[in-house]
Amino acid sequence: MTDVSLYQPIHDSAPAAPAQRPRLLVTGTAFASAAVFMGFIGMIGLYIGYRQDVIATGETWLPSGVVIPLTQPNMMLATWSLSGVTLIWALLSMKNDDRPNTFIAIGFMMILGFAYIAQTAYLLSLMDMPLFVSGEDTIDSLNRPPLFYGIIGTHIVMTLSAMGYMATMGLRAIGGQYSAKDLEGLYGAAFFWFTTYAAYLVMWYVIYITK
Amino acid sequence: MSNDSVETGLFDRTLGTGDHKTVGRLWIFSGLAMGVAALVLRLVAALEQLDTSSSSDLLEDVNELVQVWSFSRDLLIFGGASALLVGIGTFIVPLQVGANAIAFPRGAAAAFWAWLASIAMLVAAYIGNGGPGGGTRDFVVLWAMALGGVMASIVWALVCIATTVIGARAPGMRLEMVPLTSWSFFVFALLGLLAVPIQIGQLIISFIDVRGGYQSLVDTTGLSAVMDTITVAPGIYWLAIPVLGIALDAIAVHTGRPIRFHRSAMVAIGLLALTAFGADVTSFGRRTGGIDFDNALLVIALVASVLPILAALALGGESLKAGSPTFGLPLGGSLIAGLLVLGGAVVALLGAVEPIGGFIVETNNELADRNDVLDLPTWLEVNGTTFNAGITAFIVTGAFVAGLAALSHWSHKIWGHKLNEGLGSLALLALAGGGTLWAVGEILGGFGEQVALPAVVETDGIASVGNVLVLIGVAAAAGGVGLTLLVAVTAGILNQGSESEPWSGTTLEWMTTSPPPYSNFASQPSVKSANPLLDITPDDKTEDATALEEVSA
Repeated sequence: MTDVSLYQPIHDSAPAAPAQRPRLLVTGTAFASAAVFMGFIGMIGLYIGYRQDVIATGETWLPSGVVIPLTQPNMMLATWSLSGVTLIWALLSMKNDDRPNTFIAIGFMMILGFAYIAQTAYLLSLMDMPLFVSGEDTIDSLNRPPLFYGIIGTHIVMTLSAMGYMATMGLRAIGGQYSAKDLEGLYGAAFFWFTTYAAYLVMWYVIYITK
Repeated sequence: MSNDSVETGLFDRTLGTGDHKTVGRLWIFSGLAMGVAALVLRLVAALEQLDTSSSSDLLEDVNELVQVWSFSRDLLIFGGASALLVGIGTFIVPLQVGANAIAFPRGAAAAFWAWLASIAMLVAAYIGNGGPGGGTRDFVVLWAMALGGVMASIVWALVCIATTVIGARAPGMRLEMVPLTSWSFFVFALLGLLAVPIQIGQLIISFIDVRGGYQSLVDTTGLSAVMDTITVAPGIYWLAIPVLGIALDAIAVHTGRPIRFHRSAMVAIGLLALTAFGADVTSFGRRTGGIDFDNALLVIALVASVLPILAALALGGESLKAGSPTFGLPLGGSLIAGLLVLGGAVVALLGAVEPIGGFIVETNNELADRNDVLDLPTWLEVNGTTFNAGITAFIVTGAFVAGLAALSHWSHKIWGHKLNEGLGSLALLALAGGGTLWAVGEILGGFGEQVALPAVVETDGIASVGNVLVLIGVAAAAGGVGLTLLVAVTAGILNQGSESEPWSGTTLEWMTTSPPPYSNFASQPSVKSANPLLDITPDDKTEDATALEEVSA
């Protein structure tokens, strides 16, 4: 049998690769989103477990002096909900090959994403929970700041990733790679955006509402 | 050999490629190399544990012992066994499902290089006095980051494998027709996607914990508990899932009889994943003898895990009985791998006795001390001891043996050559024998109340016998993985020309040439059943091979 080089690029005369099954990117995004969501939920599970342990001892969960206001978390929820609307706006526009509207909708999504991050930063400054402790500090609430910052920080990274994914796919759509007949990239980005939204809903309830 | 279109150097062919076959080989080589390194480290820890008179010959103190031990564990599971399996999956799955390439080829390659970079960071972290037992804050932080990177890279590689099975199957191949190896890798990927990120989440918390100063550096040995969920049963059964798929496919080919109840085998493999995932809904590290939801789930998971493994092996046994088995490295390795996995799952049942005992006692008398009432022998109080490491040793060794069997079974596809049968058999013997001794030694240590974290070393009784067995077993297993690496490297170097295949199966990878060309198949295969090569005439297969020859000529 003739040996075929393992590394040889496709020869010009080789038959063209047949079309893959559709929605490969959406499928991959769904798997990746599931993985990210599980990591996030795992941290939420740790948070609930530690909180339960502390409350069981009769102590309060939040360290003295730390208050979580409700205004900012609720505004962030509204921001995320609004981004869901603009996301649907972007998808429907692209389905009609209306690129200007897609561009505007994705632009709004980017603004809303940055708004969420800015609100989170403001909320953290209001909470005034120390991230670093020195040897002299009394650690009366072991694991709380790491849990808070771990979960909130992970969600910010998720948000930035969702924005980057959406911006990339949006640019590709505007550039002509995607059209009304092929929205795969935008669907993939939308899937991850909604995953990030769902993660915020969990975080909003567990951390900000039930405290 | 024709390679006139574009001349590429070794550098381009490895660093720049998105070909799943090259990436798969890179995973395989690296996984075996990391496996050897991990077992050598475990050998050092075992030598230290054996030294009963003084514990300062090889390592300075207990913290160093914990560092070496946890490094070997992390490297063995996420550097060795899972990387080897990911490599086999990356190579074989696209061929088995009739795809021209793996889904996201550049992503698959990026996953490997990110994994390798993370492994390098992990090594640097431990060298710089980081990891569990470490005392330098920056390097303990680096450990959390590096281990998270290693796991995230594996998750990304699994995304590519799972997407290939779902999205790139040949026309006509319904999910129920997917070959068992590919199915097992799909299930392996799904479970990895669900379970491994939970560990990454814990590492993120640990990262901030240490970086922010909330974790005291006086004693960081407790950080090793972060990895407990996935490194002990039933979480470790994650690695057993591809073992079953590889074993069943190899049995089918080397008995000449495809697995009779294909869908039942798929269900069995899926059920094992379900029970393995049980580990993540239990707090395995915190379990006690008491009645609670965690323990109830744990017992169910441990008991239920044995059944799908038994079912899968029974289905393979049917082919063995009714077919014409040709015993060699692939079939022998597959059977031994299956038995090692089964051994681990059966032994794990002993670990369920204590929680069940606690359940019975607390149901009857909430105030009674469970051991007074049950008169439970102390050797059965194994939770938190090296007993769990024994189960892990069984499963991890099973994964390496299955890897050897797979490399032998698909050696013509991977390298174009048959593996060196003599060296391969020696590797199999060393791995199986060494792994069993190692596992038995750890289990004996558990009966002797040797705690899992080697901060305290039992110096007499049955635990010391166990330590000797661990030492011998790990040394043999390290030799076995080393021989497997040698066999693989030898076959890789001999990659000039190709031999004709001595055996042939009924799944799509056997339709193409050995080794397969860049785009795997000359024409898109069409599938009507779980054994597509039984549905086509011999001429069809020849035509595909002839077309490839014409292309490459």
